[in-house]
Amino acid sequence: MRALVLALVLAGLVGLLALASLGVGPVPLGPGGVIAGLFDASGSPAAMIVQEIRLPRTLLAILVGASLGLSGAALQGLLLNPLAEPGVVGVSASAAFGAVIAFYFGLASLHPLALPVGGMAGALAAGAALRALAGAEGSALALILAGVAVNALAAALTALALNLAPSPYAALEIVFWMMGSLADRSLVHVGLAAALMAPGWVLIASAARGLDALALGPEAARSLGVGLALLNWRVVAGTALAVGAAVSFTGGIAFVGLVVPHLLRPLVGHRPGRLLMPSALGGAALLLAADLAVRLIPTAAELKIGVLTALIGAPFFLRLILGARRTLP
Amino acid sequence: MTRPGHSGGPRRSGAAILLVALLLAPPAAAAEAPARVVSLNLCADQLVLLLARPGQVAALSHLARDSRLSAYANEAKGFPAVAPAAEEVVRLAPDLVIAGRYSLRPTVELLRRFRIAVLEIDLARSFAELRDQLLAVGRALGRGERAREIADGIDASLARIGPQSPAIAPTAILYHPNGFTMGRGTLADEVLARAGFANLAARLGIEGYGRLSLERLIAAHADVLVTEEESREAPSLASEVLAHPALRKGGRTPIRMALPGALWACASPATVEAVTRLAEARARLSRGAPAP
Repeated sequence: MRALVLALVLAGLVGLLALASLGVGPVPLGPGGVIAGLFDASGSPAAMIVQEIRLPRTLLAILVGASLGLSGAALQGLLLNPLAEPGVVGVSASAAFGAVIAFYFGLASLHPLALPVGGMAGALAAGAALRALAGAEGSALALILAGVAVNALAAALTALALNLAPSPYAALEIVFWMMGSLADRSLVHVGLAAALMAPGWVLIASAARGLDALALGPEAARSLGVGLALLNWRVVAGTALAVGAAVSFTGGIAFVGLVVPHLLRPLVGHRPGRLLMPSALGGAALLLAADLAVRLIPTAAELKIGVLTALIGAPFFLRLILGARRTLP
Repeated sequence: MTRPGHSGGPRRSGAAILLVALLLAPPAAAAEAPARVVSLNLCADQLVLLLARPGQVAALSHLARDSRLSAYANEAKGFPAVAPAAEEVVRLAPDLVIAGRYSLRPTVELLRRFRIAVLEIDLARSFAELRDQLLAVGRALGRGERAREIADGIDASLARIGPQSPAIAPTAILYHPNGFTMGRGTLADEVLARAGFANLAARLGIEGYGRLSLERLIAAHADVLVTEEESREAPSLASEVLAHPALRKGGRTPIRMALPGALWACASPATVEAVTRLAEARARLSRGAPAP
């Protein structure tokens, strides 16, 4: 019952923020203009602006936010570690490297799926590397150190690839891949992202019961009949699909998957399985809000959205580390 | 005991002699034509390629060979390219260096300390400024006659296109990667005006080189959208916005024209071709015929 109320409240919040997101942009349209533009099939400028510029942006914020929130909650459950998050542990950065290779060296122009497949390959490699480096026992220290290494390597390789890319703009676009942005993406991106994220979400959702059991410890989970190898595979592959697709179209947006599960965990009775769905909704709401903020803050060039999520998330992360210090060796 | 100046073997004393030679050489006199000219700036490259005798050019910038930016990229391939670093330039022992006024400040300062004559040029923002620049660089290269010929040629071509003043000028706008456009006081502003277009970016209040969001571009509705020719081999997020469906769909899609960026990255005689092509498109538009 309480879970249902929480889900409804979060869904309502996503809905309200989505409406606000459709209403905000450099061209003032007014609520009436936005609604008219949304259902206008004549191709008028207002219709083009709402349907082809603001709608994709809003939908992408929801999809990417949900993927990040969900993946964060799932990784925290799998690694038994509250500091796990796709951006912090280097999954996003590795996905960005994969996407950069696919985009700047011509693969993406051969086939539209090449870009997200590149991103997913990067995310998958990072997921596998983390699992191997951090071990199954969930030592916070080992995980964070592994994350630092994976992050640094992926960021260096991305910068190297962009410096070697033939495009005159490539080196300037490092900041997009590191910080992310939802500006001027199109419905084509939304369609591709949704098609690839959906199976990722299903995989992660199918791990919910296993994650609940794992919260009691690996031994207890095994005795409850949970196949740990399969559980592990589901979460890592699901995260690779969801985060790989997200980063391919919007760059690496950090800390959403860290902050959201944390805020919601007390509300679902600390059950990792039950945390998944609210985290997805909460991630969507947080990213919508952040994307509204980057459009409303008056800067000459629009702020990258990852700048904002990092400004919110990094102090949060520090607080978590201070809390975790008591339990660290 | 050896004297310090002779202790370093042949290479070092060679460098010392070069340094002494550089320090003793008087600044190039205006009357004498320089024999070794180095250009460090894309727009200066274009002028040097047009004006200098082939034997006069010691090196051009790397960008001179880039056909996306340089109108004379093929011609530039016959000359060495130099990195914009003082050490590289000094090694070439030039008697005249041409650089942009606003870039490479530390390099230019350093070159002056080596007593190398440096001519700084501005970005030409009109055909009148291009004429002045041609004449100034022509004088510096001892090629004043050639400079006047080229400048007169440009004026004649522009006169042939004639003043275009249709009763109602259609609007046009340049839209570059990353959403940059050219407003009032730019070379593109004059090119559009000479072709008989009203520059929409200037009407929207953009001065110089400025940014315009995709939303405002669509809301403003230009009759003609002028983009740079895309290069397929070099994908970038910056140019992705030009492929955005919002620019393709809808009932009032502007006519799109892709012109090579090299035509107006710098003012040069090639810029006249941009005027010609745009004037043709404008004429077709006035007759109600579809544009290319």
